[in-house]
Amino acid sequence: MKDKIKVIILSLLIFSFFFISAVIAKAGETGAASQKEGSGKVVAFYFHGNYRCSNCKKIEQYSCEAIEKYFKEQLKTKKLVFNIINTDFPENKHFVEDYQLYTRSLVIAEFKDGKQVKWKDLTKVWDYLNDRDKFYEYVQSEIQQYLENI
Amino acid sequence: MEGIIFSLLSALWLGILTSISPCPLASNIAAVSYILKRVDHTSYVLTSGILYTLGRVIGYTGLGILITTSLLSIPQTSYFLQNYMNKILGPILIIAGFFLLGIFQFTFPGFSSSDKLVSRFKNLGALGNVPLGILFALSFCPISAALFFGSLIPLALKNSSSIILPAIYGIGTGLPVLAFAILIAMGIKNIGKVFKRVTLFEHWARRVIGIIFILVGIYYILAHIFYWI
Repeated sequence: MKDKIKVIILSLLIFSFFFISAVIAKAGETGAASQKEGSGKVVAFYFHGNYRCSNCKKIEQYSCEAIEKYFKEQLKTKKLVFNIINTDFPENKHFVEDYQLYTRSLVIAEFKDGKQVKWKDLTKVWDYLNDRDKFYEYVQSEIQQYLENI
Repeated sequence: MEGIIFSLLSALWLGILTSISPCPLASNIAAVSYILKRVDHTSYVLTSGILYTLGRVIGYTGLGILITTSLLSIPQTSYFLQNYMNKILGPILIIAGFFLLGIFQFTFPGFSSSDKLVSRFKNLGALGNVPLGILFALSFCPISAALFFGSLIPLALKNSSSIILPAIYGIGTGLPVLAFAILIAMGIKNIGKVFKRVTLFEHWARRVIGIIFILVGIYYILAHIFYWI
């Protein structure tokens, strides 16, 4: 009788071991798959300083509006992330050299597997400040091009 | 040839765009008020306008040379000038305003006020427009930085023109003040008729200019040191 119980317990333990291993393996597989799918993303940065001029606020506002208008879905799935960064904070000063910034700027960067692949400073935001539609169109087309690669 | 003319006109246009943008408005007000210091003298007003523009030309050309020859990096220079020049501009304008109001006075140890050197120094007033032009040119704000570092410098590099194009840009940035100086110089006779007692006018003009300098200085301090504006 005791032997039977031992066999049952052992069988249960072996079954549990394989079942848990299978679940973990499956979970790992799913994780790897989702990691693969989610490995690429586009980050849009708006860089400003402590001094906020009226045009600088306008660029930030239009960028924010354009991104929310055209890329709602991508923002939800984190395919696109929008960051507003103050380069006058010591921890953010490196961005000035990283992206060769010389004024308030909207920069888009493509990341794959956590590494930055390419970036672009959307300098024409200054040219379209007085034309909201052109500004939106410009931001939308530039980000769209980056999103198509991931 | 057409390409050169196009580049020259582009540089001039970028300068004009810089001068009419909202950021340098406060410094333009101070510059215009300064050239009105001796409004009864046509030559003084005209010379002041030209010297102020020359100051701006010197500022931008010097910077253009240093950047196009890679002695200075664009990001570091731009951020340094935007962060620090505007911070020191406020106190400088306030001190200059106190001098104009007569609250502070120039004193030279070893010279009495009747000395020729002192009176000659006072007569060099129009030359003060040169450092004023340099100072205002180097006080970049975000929009002027975008136009100078983002548009003019690439144009200068493309044309291998580290002197001419920044100089033309400098002339463009000084044009509104220069135009105002010409208009005032042309209308001085009329002003003379209105203000027959020119000395009294000068007495008050100096005080008004001093107050304008102090107000513009306070604006710069609030905007660039306390970030309240």
